[in-house]
Amino acid sequence: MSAEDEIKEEIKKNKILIYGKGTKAAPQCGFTSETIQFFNKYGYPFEVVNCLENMTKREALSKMTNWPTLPKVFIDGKFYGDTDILDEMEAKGEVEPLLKAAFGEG
Amino acid sequence: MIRIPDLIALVQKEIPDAEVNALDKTGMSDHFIIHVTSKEFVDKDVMERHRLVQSCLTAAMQDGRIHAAEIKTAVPGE
Repeated sequence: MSAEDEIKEEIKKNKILIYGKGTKAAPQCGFTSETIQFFNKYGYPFEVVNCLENMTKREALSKMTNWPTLPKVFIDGKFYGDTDILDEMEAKGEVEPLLKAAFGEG
Repeated sequence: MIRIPDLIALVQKEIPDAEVNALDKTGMSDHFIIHVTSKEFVDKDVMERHRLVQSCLTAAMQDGRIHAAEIKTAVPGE
């Protein structure tokens, strides 16, 4: 399975998915742990895919999203960048409804 | 490493009316918090705003002048 197919599979299976450096239990980068804390606040289930030692996946992700950095967040299969974007969306009240819709509580 | 005036110039090259505030987060001149305010963001959602700012910084990110950029965007009066 190509990296792209694997990614597509993963974002389909997880309503909230963070591609980052390290794991949920042991994030290896400040931005990744910031993103984990961001979603911990909402209480919805989410997963973290560790891309630290997986250059093929990282390159595929960057190409698919045209976004240079990690972490990369997908909600309900759609790409939302990182906490820079999510913080601004949250300030405009756009995150709560998005998560509710993703988990079918719309 | 990049000097803040050069970083601001990079953004204003693509977004001429941009008011840019850049803060050197670590003192190493390669990890910045960048606030950009521009009328061009009015009809754009948060993702589009960030992609526009990112596009100004791509070259500097690729050649290492900028290691990390935390971007915040706003429209005048927001």
